[in-house]
Amino acid sequence: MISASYTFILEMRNTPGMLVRVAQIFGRRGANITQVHVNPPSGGIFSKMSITATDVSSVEQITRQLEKLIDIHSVTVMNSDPSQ
Amino acid sequence: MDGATALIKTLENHNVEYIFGYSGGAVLPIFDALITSGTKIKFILVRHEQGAAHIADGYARASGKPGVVLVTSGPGAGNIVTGLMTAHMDSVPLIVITGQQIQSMLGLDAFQEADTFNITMPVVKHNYLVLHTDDLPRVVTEAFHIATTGRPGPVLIDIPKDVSAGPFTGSLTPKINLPAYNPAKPLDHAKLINIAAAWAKAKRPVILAGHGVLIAGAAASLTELAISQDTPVTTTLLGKGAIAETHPLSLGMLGMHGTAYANKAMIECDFLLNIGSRFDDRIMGEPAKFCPEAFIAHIDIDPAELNKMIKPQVTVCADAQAAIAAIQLLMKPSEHSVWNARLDIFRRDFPLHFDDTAGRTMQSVIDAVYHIAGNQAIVTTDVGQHQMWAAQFYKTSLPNHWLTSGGAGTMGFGFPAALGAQFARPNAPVIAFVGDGGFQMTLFELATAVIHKLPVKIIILNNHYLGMIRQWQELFFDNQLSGTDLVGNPDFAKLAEAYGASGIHIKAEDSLEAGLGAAFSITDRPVIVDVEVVKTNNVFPMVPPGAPLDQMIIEPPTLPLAKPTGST
Repeated sequence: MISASYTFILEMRNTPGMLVRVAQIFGRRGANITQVHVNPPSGGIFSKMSITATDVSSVEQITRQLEKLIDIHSVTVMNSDPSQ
Repeated sequence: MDGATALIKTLENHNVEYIFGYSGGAVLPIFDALITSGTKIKFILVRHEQGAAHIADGYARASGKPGVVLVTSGPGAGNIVTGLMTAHMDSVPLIVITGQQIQSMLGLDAFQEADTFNITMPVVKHNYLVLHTDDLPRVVTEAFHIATTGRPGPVLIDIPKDVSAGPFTGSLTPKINLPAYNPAKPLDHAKLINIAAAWAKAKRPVILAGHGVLIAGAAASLTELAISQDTPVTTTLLGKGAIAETHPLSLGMLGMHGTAYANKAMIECDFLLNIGSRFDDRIMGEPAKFCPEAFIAHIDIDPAELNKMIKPQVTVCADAQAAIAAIQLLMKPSEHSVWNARLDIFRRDFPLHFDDTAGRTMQSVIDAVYHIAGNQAIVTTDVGQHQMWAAQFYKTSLPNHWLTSGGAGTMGFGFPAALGAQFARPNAPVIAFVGDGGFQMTLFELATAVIHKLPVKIIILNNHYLGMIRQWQELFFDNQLSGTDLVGNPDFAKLAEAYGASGIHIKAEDSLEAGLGAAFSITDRPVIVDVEVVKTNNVFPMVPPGAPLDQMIIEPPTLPLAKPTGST
């Protein structure tokens, strides 16, 4: 069975170590990151990170934990696999 | 001025009275500045970095102020990881400063270089690797802000030696720059109105109070609300003190080793208001069957705790004090005499009890200490059977007088935490209940205690076993004991004397009252009271891990139990 894939769009300050902080939230809960993309700020202060993962046991938990990170401004989730 | 001096001056600006720590090569500039800056901050040299973290943790829990730690790079930083995890799990504010190799050596496996920033990331609320000397005051100021707002927690600041030694030309009163961190959320009044309406209709309401109530300074408001609604209160292990456990509305602690009457109240209640507890697995048993008949409302300052373990009918992200004050305004006084009378029957029929006919029990020792020291003493515990019995039998009446490692369950916490509590509250009696196992994990801080003449009472409840694991082996693993028999314990009273503390050994045939009386008459140094207790006693009530609360075992079972499949 192919696990559903979710894409989390993060508005964040891209401080050193930010990718590790984000990746730890996924890894600790057994999720598997399949794609990462970071865009530098366009005008404002926040960079945009798009991170796609499978084996996400709880989208809400990962979202809330991402939002808790001190340098994350907002989190939006998209289910990127329409067949799921 | 160098960076280290700017660091010390910024700590002074945050009213730091103590730094607990251990020196080392990568923090030499900071230790030099402790002298040259002429600071009034007192540095307390511990004997192991883990001790510094737990002492700072105990200081923070007893005082409500952040504890400050200063250790070196590499092994120094590695030794505090357990202390960080302990504080993080229990929402305790710490400011932890670690030295680091010089920047040009980062990542080169240089002497005592470790990737402290990445090693500690999962066990702190936030951390920093400082790369510019002029950033130090801003980073420290941000660290205090982060550690003490929202849900508190430890913040670590890793400082390369050339950054602390470098020239400082910045501002000592910097602006913080945390544009994405907004812990203060507006109160959702519509949800609070829902809670008040459900509570007003309830016939069998219960309040569940957690550590969040104490952190918010809301114990008095919570007690007032409980009285006005005639609603009983149970607390988590860390919530002890949210209401006086001698109050008629107190049900004591709930959960795995909670009181039978608290757990029965959970099974029968039709309304549960959880304020500042995170529905830990140790209190719920089987989540799907928790409070099966209740409308459940959950108030927590951390949005990530809402809907995490169960899906309550209402969730509110709020500070406990603000939420309680708002709910109080929405509620008319109420009474629940039928419900409270039913709970009184449970209290009468299923009391906490112990029996010393087969030998001295830990419970009787804890009860005797309670009758000597009472509710004014600050009590710390280690982890295991003695911790659960202390939670049951040492009645906590005041906030911040019960310090224990709940989430992490860190053996070795209790004794150093007591030292931190004594630093914070020099005139308060401080008692550490420890087992013979956990005490040996951090006993080296006896030196710290003696040097500073801290008159803590260290009560070793000595059963020569790792008792809680032995209990699980007896109950769930056919009594096949493996790795739990502590043969070869030292003579703890002699050990105390070797350090310059006092030691009292209370053997089975000795008078407990005489030994405790002698211990409590000593006020100028720490005292170890090594009390021999029965070797194989088990903590009850007990809810098997993962089982619903109605499967609570109240008396020792006579039949073998199935291996549990729930939480460890």
